[in-house]
Amino acid sequence: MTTIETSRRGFVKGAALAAGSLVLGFGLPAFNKAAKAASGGTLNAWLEITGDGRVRIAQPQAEMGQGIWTSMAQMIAEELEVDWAQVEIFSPVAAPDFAHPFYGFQTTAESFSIRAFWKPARTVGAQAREMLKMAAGEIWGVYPGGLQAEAGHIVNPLTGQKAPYAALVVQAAKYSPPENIQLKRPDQWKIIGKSIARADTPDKVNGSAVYGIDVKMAGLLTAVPLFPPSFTGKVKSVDDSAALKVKGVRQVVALEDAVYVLAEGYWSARQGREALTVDWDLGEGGDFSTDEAFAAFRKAAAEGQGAVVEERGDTVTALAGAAKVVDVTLEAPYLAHATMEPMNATAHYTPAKLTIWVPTQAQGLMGFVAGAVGLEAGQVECHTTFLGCGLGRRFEIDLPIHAALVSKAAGVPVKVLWSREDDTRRDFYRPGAVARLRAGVDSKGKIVGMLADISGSSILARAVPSLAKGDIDHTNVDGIAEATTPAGVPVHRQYDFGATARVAYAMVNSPIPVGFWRSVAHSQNAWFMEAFVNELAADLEQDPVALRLSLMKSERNRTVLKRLGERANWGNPAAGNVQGLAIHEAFGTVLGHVIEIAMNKRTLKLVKVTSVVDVGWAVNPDTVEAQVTSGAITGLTAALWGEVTMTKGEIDQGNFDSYRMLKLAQTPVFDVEILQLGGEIGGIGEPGTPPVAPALAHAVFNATGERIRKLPLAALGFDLM
Amino acid sequence: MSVSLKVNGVDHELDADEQTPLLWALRDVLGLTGTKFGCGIAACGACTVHVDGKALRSCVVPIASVVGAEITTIEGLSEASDHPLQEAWRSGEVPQCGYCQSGMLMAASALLAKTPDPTDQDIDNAMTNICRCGTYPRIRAAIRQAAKNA
Repeated sequence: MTTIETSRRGFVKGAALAAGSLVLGFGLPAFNKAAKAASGGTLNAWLEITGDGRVRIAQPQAEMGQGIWTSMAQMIAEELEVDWAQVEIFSPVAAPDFAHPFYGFQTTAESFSIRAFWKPARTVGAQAREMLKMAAGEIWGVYPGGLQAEAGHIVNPLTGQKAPYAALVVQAAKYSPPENIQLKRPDQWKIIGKSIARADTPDKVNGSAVYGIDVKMAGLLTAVPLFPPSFTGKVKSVDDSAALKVKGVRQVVALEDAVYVLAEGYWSARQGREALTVDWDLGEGGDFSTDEAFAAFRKAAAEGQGAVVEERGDTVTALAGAAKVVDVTLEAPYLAHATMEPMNATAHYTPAKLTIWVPTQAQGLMGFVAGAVGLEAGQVECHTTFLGCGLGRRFEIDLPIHAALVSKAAGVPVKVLWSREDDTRRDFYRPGAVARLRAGVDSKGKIVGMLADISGSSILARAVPSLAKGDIDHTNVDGIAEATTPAGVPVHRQYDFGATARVAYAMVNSPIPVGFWRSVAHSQNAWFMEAFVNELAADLEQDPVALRLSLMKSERNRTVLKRLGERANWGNPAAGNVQGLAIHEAFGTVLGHVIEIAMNKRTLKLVKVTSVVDVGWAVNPDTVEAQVTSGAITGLTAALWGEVTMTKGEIDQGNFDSYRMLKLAQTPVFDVEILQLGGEIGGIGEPGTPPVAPALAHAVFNATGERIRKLPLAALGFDLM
Repeated sequence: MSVSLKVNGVDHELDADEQTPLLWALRDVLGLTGTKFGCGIAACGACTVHVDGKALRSCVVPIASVVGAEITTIEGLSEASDHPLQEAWRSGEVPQCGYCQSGMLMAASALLAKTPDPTDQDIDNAMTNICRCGTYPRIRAAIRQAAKNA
């Protein structure tokens, strides 16, 4: 995949480099005093060792619940050879040192933190350890290769000499990091693979954890928006006379596509917003509806209008000659993110510098925010708070841009804060999509080919157009096609449907903005593919597990599926219950669910979700278990109720009363088995979500005989007990 | 307009409109940001606090209606983050993003104060807050654990 070149400029030379200059100021400690002079210091952007022996690890990835604070530090600490009790983790000012190894800019996306930093983070720790040995060797006048690192100390096993890292770090920082270090073998791990207590938990049980919404500073005003009814709307004129009379309201700032009321606190700003009168130009597309979008998707999928992504053999002829063709059209609705923490960003603009405090998944894109207020990319300083969920919504930079523009216009630091309704109605939605999937079967029951025609809106045509080359966006086909897109992105399907395969994608964009939603492509594509395979099994009168085992390309996937069948007691649910099954490969991970439900007419009770996952290696197994469950609950909420609709330019849903969420009483029992088959390490923040919808729809089919080809289930008249 | 509020045992005089929701008085006037904004319509429970020991969703409670009441927020749940539920939340690694957890803990602590040994049905009825990360199974387990330890 290509990186987003322009975003590389979006960095600040922040705390890391400033601290580096402090290190030089310490000077070289006298050799014989070194062991006592435990002054501490900064080794590099990632590591600081304090005078009292604490190891401060910079953790640049967005902590949005996935436990990355802890698991990233586990990887560094493992190689650094420190006691976990010494470790402190902090969120550093965004900096080039923290660029994502794959994307090239600082970001947390695509379940790609552990995978991308798997080697680099351990290498940072190992290099630091070796540099500390070199420092001790120089101070003691011995060959560093004979020294050992143990629990935050360098030890000379021959002489018994021992020095804490804090006494060596200033000297160690003078060396270039050594290359080609041998990383520890799995059997040598002491911290990786352990369910270490999460570092962010204590602050999250007493209210002290700071999220974006909690940022405080002198003179900060809260800014609440009024948006045009449609996405294409623009401000024509504003009458703010009544708003400015509301107690606490200080200013009103009109942007192109929103009017912000600034006040001392949210409530005054909300009252001010109620008092605003704004005349809008609704713009072209101001009367668009989701019905129009789906009519276009259905037509394109039915007629096979798409650009060809995969073409192996002559699928059309193979299907024409087949004894039987299974032909299924499936639909996926638009979805909102509904992060628990409403959208917000805080900015302080000065002509010399823009400082932002933001719960973001995309620090590396903040150069664009600086650009929006006429500053250079290097003039932005970005502080990352905790994120009250990210789910992909916080990859977007619309909030920081608004905050920066409003701060510049108002001349004061500003916290932009949206309401729940604002969040639901100004989202970048999981794209709605339609897929027609067909498979041909010969007279002996052998599958001879698979034909997929997919249509839906493209995320990348908006977000990174260079990746939507040839009108093919990999996020519309990954999981269904086995190919490399014209932009060079590989996509993968876990099944081989015989000698022929053809996958085409018809890009149909609309005024409804689409974006990255937990598991992105896979959230709808696993639904399409797995629901199709379950229908195929039903039509061929084959067991869904047996059919999949015969189609899977990889032994790894078969291993996970077999284990899932055993663990869930597939085919033998508890009396009165029915089961459904799906499995998907995404983000380097293979994960399957069996969902067991009880059904009474169209009312269902979620009884149990059994999950088996292979992540290759689990850095923190407890976190992996939590993410599998979390991803599944996101999927359950979406499959049951998730649907965003637009009528004449306006989003119909608003708060949690019209965009429902699963609650505790409705939540099933979970049983998660983590396999560590030891291949490449996989991501875990998202893979729990994709197989949920097809597994649940399968269970409903098994209970009712009704083919479920559309989501959410609520739109088909189903509800929860 | 001055309004008197007693929060976490401390009396405050607030210069605020008496219709101001308690949530915003806590967050923006008193700086107690542990209580969270999630929906503003009492649908999600992120803003749950105790008013005279009862769990209330503070986003729809005007401050004028709680004058003279004992208000407790997450910051006042315990002296040293050592309420049995906080202990159970830590040992059970309940939070993920953590944003809803203040409200969850306040709802759960009101439940245990009234019903020290709750049944699953009691937990279902009391814990109606929304968690977008899906920490529900661990919340249920941690409430049981805290009830056992208390």
